[in-house]
Amino acid sequence: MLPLPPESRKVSPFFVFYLIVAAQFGLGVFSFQRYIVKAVGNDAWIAVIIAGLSIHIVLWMIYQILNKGTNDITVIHKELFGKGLGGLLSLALIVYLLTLAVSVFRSYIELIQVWIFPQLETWYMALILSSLVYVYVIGGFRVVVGICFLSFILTTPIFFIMLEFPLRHVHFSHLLPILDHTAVEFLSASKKMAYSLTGFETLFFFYPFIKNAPSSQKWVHYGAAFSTFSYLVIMIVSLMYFTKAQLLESIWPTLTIWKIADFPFLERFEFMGLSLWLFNALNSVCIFIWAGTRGLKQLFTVKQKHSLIFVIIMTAVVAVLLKNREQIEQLNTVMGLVSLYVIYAYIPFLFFYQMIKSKMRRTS
Amino acid sequence: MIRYLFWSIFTLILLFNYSIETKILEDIQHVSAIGYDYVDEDRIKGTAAAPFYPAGIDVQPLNAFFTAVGHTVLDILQKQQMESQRRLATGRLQNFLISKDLAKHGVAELTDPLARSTDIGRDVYMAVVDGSVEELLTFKYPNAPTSAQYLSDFMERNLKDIVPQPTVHAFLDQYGGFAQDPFLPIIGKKDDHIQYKGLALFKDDLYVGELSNKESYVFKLFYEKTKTGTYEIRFKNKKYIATENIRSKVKYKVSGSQDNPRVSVHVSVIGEVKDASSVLMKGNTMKEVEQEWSKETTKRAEKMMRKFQELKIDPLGIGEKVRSHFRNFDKEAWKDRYPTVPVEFYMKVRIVNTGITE
Repeated sequence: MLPLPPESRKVSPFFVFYLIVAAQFGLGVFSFQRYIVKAVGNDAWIAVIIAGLSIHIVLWMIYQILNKGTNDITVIHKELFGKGLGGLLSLALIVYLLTLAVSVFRSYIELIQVWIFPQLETWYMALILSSLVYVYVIGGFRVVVGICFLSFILTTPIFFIMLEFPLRHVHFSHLLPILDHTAVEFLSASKKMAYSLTGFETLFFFYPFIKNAPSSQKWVHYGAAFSTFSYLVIMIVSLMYFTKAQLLESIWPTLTIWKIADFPFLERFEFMGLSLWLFNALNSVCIFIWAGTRGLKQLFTVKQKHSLIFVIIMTAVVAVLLKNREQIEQLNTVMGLVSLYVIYAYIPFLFFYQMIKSKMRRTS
Repeated sequence: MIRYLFWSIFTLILLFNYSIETKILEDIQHVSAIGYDYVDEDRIKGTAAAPFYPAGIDVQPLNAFFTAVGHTVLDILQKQQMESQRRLATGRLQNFLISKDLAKHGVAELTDPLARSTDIGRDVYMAVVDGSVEELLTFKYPNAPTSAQYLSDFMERNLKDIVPQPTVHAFLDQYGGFAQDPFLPIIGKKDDHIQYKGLALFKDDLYVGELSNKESYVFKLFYEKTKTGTYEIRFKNKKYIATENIRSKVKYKVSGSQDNPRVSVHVSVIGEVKDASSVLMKGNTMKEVEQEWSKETTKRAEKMMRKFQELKIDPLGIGEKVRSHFRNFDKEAWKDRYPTVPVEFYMKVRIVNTGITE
């Protein structure tokens, strides 16, 4: 069994709240509306709630798995499936998280290119972003937690304040009639929503870094509830603010909403908001990459610094290779599908497998 | 050593590959109003008003206009660019005008860049111009330093009380959604002023009719919550009374079945009497004035509604109200049904004061 991290590297349980919010509440908040509205129209907000609740069940399962294993996922995998298969599963999870990092990384660059600087070259921004990620992740887990906390206090108040502007132009009737869709439609919409709420799988890796880890479960639930709430609020506001046709047409409805904000000193808010959202993109990328490299360290006993440099270079290279909107969209679609399997198939499977195995061991 | 080398190379790369074009505020010219005229089947004439601010302290902006003929908005902008002394930037665009002739031929091609562009805000005001846009924009008005300034003040501070906010967001939303048809204010040049003339009604992106400015007050009253509006009531013995709306609320009620829906519109107004020369405002008379006001307005609203149904347009958004009322709403059937749906108007008036005299 691999050694657990020393006490001085750990963080207090309540910081998990910021970690979960950081992982879930990222760039998805700009664009998630249209995918859900496509399926259930004016009932999209219900799909957000359904997905949010299902995530809580998955989080509970994750805690059951980790509490029993008392270490991170690589160790649990090894115990449950042996070195070969267990290692392979861990590697798959690591690759999944790193691909999520790439998707956030490239999406942020795309946002900057579309909204602010069309002339900005992808590699240039990738260079800046990857050096930032390096600087944070090399500082260790506690620094990553720090950036998550910082990003939370910088971006969430602004996110909620900005809702005030669209609220002046909303039509309540857009939400009616409630529950006008079939269960199948709701299910497919909730599936789409789950991708926005993904990212909490990093919990599998940073669990040993939490002081008195089992007690942190409530903070995880608070965190997930908070991100679901944020998604819910922006969903309801965009439903009331846009007609359905407009919502389906715009790629980033939240940013379009920000366009109407008008301050005496600031003609257009979305430019500032997008720049601030660097923190939100950065913390997701940092968590994913930290978790990925931590996993690689556990698996292959390489130094985290070396794997970090390798991973960051790979992230930047893949990001540069994704040339246009279509390819980014494709990556996101594929990742949406994969994350669905990870959340709703793999984690429950692991939970039941571990339960059955521990029962069998006890009886034998 | 390697670390220092790495970071210095890193810095050098960042410094020498900076490829973003800078836009310095003093070096660009802001287009504050832009308007389009009809030329022929596939060409339009664009006029951009981009006031020029010469260097110095306390200088008045100079009127500057750039006109070009082209096929699309961006094509025209490029041609206008060839004339201007500085780079034209549309980031602070405030008014977007369309001539009535052009509106009759459809405005979808014009509004698409508005929806697509990240530069142009969603709170840009839109209007239809009766007559030539070029003439309206390039005229030197005596009451403002530049025509663009007059226009944006007029649209932003004055017109907002008269018509529901005609922003790009509202237009695009109404145009895109099935449940409502767009409308825009009509403005025109009257001698040496800009004048509000009424409300242009659109079917999809085509101009199909208009409301007079008197009707548009009624339209606003039945469209949204208002706090403005002066009405003239013809009282008995051909005496005229002017009343003012203090605040009003509107509520749509849908009843009946989906195959046979009934819509009733209820407005409640709190008003005051502003001008009642030779009519004594006392108990009973007040009641009569209230009744007369309500009767006249609902009559006008019914007439307006008949016009909408004849034109098969729905600027009031009745479709949206009906949609939100019924489950499994059939949009196609509604389109055919709309012209025959009975819409009733009710108005409740309460006059709370008669000014400072009786």
